[in-house]
Amino acid sequence: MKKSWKIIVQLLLVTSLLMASCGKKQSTEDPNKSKKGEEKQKILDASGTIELPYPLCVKKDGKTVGGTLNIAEPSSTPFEGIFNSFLQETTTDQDLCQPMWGVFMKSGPNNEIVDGGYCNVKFDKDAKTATYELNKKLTWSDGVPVTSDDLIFVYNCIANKDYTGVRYDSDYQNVVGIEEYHDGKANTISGLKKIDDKTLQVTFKEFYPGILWGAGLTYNVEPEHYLKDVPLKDMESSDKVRLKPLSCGPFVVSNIVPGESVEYVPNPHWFGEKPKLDKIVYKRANPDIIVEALKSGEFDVVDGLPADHYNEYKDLSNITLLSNVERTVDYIGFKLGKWDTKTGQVVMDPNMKMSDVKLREAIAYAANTKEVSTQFYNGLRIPANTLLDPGHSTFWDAKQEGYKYNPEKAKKILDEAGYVDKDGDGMREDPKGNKLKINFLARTGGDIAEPLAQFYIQCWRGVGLDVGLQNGRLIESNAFYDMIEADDPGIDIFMAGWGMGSNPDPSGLYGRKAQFNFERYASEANDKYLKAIASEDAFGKDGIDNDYLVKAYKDWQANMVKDVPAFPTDYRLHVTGINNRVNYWDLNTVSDWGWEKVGLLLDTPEKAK
Amino acid sequence: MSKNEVNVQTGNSKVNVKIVTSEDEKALKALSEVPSFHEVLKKEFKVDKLATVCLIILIIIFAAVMIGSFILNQDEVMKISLRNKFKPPSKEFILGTDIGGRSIIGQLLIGGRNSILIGFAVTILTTIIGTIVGLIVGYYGGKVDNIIMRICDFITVLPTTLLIITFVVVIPNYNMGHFIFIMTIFYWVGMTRLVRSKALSESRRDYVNASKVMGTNDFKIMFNGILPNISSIIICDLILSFAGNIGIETGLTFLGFGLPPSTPSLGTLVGYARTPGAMSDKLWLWLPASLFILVMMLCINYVGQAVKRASDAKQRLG
Repeated sequence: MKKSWKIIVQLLLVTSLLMASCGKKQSTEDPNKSKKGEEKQKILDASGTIELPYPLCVKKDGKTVGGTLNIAEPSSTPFEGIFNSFLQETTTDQDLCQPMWGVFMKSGPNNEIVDGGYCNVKFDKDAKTATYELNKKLTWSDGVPVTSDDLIFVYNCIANKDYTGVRYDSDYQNVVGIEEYHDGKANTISGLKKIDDKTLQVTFKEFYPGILWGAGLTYNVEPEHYLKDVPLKDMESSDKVRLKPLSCGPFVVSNIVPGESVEYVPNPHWFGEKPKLDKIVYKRANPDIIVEALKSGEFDVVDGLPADHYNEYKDLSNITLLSNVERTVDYIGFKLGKWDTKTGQVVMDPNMKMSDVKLREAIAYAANTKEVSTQFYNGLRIPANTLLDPGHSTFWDAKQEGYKYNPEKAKKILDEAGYVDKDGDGMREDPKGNKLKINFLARTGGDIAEPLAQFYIQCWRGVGLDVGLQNGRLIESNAFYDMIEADDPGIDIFMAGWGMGSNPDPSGLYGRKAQFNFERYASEANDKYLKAIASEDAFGKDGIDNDYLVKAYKDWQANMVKDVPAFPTDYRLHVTGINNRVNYWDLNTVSDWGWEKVGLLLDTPEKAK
Repeated sequence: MSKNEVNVQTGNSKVNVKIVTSEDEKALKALSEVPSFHEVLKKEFKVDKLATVCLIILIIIFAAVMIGSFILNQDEVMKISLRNKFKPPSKEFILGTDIGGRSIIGQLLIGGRNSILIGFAVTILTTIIGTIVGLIVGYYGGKVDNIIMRICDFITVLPTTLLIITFVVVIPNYNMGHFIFIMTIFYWVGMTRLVRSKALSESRRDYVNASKVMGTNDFKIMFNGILPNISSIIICDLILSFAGNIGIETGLTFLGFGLPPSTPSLGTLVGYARTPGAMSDKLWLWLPASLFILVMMLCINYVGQAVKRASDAKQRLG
């Protein structure tokens, strides 16, 4: 998915904060209660709830025995293995780094940055600054203390002209002096002020709400003293990044088999409590064999169990399941225009097949998303109502009606808008009487992909719209995004998905100047609502004015439902399976969970009966 | 021979000769007559009971698949109904359903027909092309032989499967016709080589030389003289490659490079075995198609073997 960077970038930030955070408030402390499905947990929101099939947290008392924790990394291809926060580009690498990153920054209920990690950040809206405050005792695994120079090093690398990664974006460019440094006009970034060895102040050009979610902030440090001799160009391939990374978290890498497995041992210079485990082993596992491996106890933890195999693992006796809502939205989008490379913005074309909002509404009403969620995904997906994910529960509008399956209404809308069958072939023509042949672009992915695409087509044909798969088949994922991004003239409808970052601001996905606005949708109302979300008005007296921001998000969601440039199909549930011998695991956003607290209660893993 | 005898005997008695010749001629004719390929084949099947049974099974399978798929409506079979997902065999669905709630039996019949039609078409086309080119090359020899056989060599060294996959990916809207076309392009070479080698040795025979001396048209010699003499080999190769060609389509679809996903195929059905759990828990998904392929291949092979033996006097059983 080389072209879908925005997601991954955003996912990167997400994971680090997500893993770094787990809430005690909602956790079921009693191990008996946390058994499968006995107690349903709810994500609370100002206006509505989603019921989770499994608890968010498992915590068991008892003496831990040390030992090795085996974690599966579900991936069908070897991982890249870049152990560096600003160079790595895949979520798999991101996952693999968790034990050495630990809880560098902690996140609050809305995924914003709060105090409590190894590094706290203080925000000052009037001075337009953010100040990192590193833990005084934070030390690298070779004994050298972590200093603010390590933070500056990250900024310097990202702003370096040799940097080819994706982090140097508009959020980083918002740091004062970073562009001068990038262009070689300055030797240092003037917006970075080293107050002392453990404190760093960053000054921004504009101070917008996203900064509280980490826009333009680094969510991890890298060891300057260890990496400064390696030219940035060679850093990605150097052994210091690939095989022997330093760590300032509870665990440090002891052995790496490239592409296959990573071994961690406790970090001797770690300042916090002593880790309960002797070793953590991450092993890449093909999603197809994961269930068998869970049964035999080969893996203690599988984060992100595949939904299609749900029936095979839901009743295993040796594992406990945890669940949470993922920050993803699967949607079906309509091509409404083109991307103008010269001006770098979206240009709507009123003559596209999908330009009629009535037609879009009818298509949205005709898609039976509920049946897909419940029947295809065994209830591990939730029918979606808005284009914002419920992972950001405060801003997600649970009361929004969205487009519930209603084929009669779809037919009525089409009849009223003049889409009727004039030549008697059973398929509707457009109001001018021309044949309406709609192309649907869908991508490959698992056994479900093909019947899923066929099912939606069937839904639409059911209301008399002549929809067919573009090219008569599914498109491989990379080619799929290439086609969408290049505004392939054949595309009318497409089915895709976004992983949202910790910052819920949707302007990067639906803004006028966002290249990832695949629908090529822009309207004045949309500009207005997006501006409200990113506006300084969102700051109240102390920190964020929640009421204002919630309203801004809800307005935007309502507008997206009204204009339907895309309609959401489902939200995903994240299911994690842990062996019964693991004493503590937590999927909450706000939590005291940390890698050093995970322990094993038995020497050998439990096997399925 | 008979003429000589008659001549010798004319001196003794004319009456006698008449009787002897008419009786002898019959007996002698029967003795010296070469039985037709058709008759040998009949004999061979009579002796080889297994081949006979296989032939009957094969006819039944073909008839069932052709009639079945004619009755069924492909759109109806491929209609997705989520509520019937992974239904085990029952009265409603004789062989159960797949992930999209589509009946397996319907897919099996239509998929079987597609596979058989593709295999059949490819075999016939490659045989026609191969025979014509092979005959020309074998008959003329020399430069013609050299040039065309080098082209054949070139096609042989190409990674055929990979090229077919690329072709399938590049063509935007491919169907059965495209599939047959691309396979034919690559698979005519084998038949050409076989026919060429036989035609080469045949064209040095006396009867060909005699024909040439008599000024017969080259093509007449090729198709009326040489072709009937090597036809038995062509026929048995045709049957065996038929089995192979069905296999290629099924294999490519199994890998995901065959017919479009909305077209039922045996390969797709066998591919369901890769779904975790299906191997042990959902036998109905992949077992019928696998058995179908196994039985069909075995039958074609046994029949093919019988035909092969019939074409070679040394191997004959009957």
